[in-house]
Amino acid sequence: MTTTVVGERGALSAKISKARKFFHSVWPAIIIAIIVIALWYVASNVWGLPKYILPSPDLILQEAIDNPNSLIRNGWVTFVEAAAGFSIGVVAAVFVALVLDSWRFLEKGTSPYLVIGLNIPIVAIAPAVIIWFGFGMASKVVVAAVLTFFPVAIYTLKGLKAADRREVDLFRVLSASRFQELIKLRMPSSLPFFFAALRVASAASVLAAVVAEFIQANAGIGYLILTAAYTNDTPRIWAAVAVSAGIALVFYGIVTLVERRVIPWHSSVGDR
Amino acid sequence: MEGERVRTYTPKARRFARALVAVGIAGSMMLVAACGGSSDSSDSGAMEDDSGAMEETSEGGAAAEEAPAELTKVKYVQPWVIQGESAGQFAAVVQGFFAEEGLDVEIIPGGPDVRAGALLASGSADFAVMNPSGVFTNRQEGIPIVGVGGINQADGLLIMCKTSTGITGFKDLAGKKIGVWVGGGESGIQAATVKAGVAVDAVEWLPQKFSMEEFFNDAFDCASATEWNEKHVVYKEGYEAGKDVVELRPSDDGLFLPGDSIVALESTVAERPEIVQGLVTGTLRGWQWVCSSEENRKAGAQYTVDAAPDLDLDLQIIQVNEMCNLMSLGPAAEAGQIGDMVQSSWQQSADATLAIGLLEGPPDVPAAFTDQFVANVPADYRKITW
Repeated sequence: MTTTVVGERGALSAKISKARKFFHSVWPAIIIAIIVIALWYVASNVWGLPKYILPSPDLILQEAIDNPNSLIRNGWVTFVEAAAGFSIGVVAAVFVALVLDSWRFLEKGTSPYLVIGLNIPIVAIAPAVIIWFGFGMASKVVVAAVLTFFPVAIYTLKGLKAADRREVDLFRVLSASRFQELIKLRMPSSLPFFFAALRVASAASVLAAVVAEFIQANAGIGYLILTAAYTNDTPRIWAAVAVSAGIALVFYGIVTLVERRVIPWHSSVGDR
Repeated sequence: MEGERVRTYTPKARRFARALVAVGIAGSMMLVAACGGSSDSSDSGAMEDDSGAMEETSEGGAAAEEAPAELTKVKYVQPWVIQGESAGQFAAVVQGFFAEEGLDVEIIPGGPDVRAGALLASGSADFAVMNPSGVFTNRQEGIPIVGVGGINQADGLLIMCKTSTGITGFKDLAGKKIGVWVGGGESGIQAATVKAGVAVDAVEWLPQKFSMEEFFNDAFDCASATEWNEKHVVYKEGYEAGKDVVELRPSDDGLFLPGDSIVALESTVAERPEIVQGLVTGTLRGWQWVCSSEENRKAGAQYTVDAAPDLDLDLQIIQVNEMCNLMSLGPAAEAGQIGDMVQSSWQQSADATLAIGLLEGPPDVPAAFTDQFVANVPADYRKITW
């Protein structure tokens, strides 16, 4: 009986401390947001910053309230494109990293190009991708996948090589097979790198989808921004920017949650 | 070793690592499958994947009527994102004018960086709408496209200057900052400036964004605008025509640089003239239908809004009205019918494009367009009744 009560209490206090921890980790961001929005409001309404440069936050909110369907519909299109591109990019990157890791020659031959790939300006490739993959969602997914692929491939490859030398020696002394070494040592030790890359790529994939839509599309946040700019509807532009930021935050949050569950032992996780 | 942190990988991390390997292997299989699949279909079926996605566009335009099997599918790239500027094309889809010509037309929206010439050359699309200057520059790049039908007799580009700048005509532009859409949008404005006796170099030409921001914040003395969009954006902000703003148009000085024109590859013209004819007939008939009454203009605007629900219907109606005006200007007004591609106008466009340095040498103007298709369009579908 006593143990049950203690157990329940323990669970409750654990929950409370978890909530407290969460609060402590997010409140600085909330405070900063409040300060920025307040300054922004003052700049727009007191100092008279023109609407076409930066509309007041309440105008943006009003736009979101007036046209929620447009934001949701276009946001959903971008979300789907970015999510599909991100998934495809990650799968391809992991595969390529594993292949390059096990094939020294190929790795040496391709790694300079991976770095070049990391620096591809989206605006340069997007028109060509549209020619190759057509006018629908496919071309936007490909652009998002390309921008996800390079950072994830580079960092995963780096991570695969980051296992502690002594641990590698230990595996070899114990006659572990190369596959065992990969699965039990090098892959787990690459995970912090992998997740760091995922966090970067999660935001990049949303940006990539938006830019691709900006070039040619009939729906999506990029399209919404383009048409709103065209008609000088700045509150709508900023509402669309907010939605795109929201999507990127959701992606980032999901990656962080998965990371916490998978590599709780890593120092980078405890800090946050 | 003592004092050093010993890393112990949790079972979760190991399981995740194993899952990653599985994902990698599955991914490789998917990639191989995808590559194999696409090489099979690289010629005809490469676009099949997205045709479904884009069907939404034309279906959005209420073009959902079941297309009989014998209709020829064609892709038609528009000059910009879907808007009133394409109302005639949408009307031709919705009213079944293209279907009557044996075509199942899929309307593809354009955008700031859509290279229609490359889309035609790569086989991703069959027809496009662009200005003659685009035809000349594409031909120079080795993309053999030709004009097959005219829509707008003037390109609809003007510059808007605040009256506070003191500018009253192109003659006053020397030393002023003028915003232009670089890459073709400047040709008419600069040609008019030269015609007014001001050297091109005497004006400070600045690249303008696809908005009127620089006009509003006085970064430019004059900014480029289209008759169907930016002009109305400015007036919506409370400016008054004549009082606060001066509009300068090349066409006011007798310069008619043709605007939206229907283009196709030379090979399409030579090998499949019947689909070119169908598309030209359908497009002109679509516009004739739209412009012929107030009600139809509204309907045409509504078709574009159906396809792109974020558009403002009132603005699209304004665009349609401006389009109807632009296609019946100058040479069209004289002939009493729409669609003609006038040799002298195309020549003016070639001269203007050459003058701004987009062409290396004078283009072969007669080779850049053919009026054989427009000539075969029934007179009723071209008659200006407005």
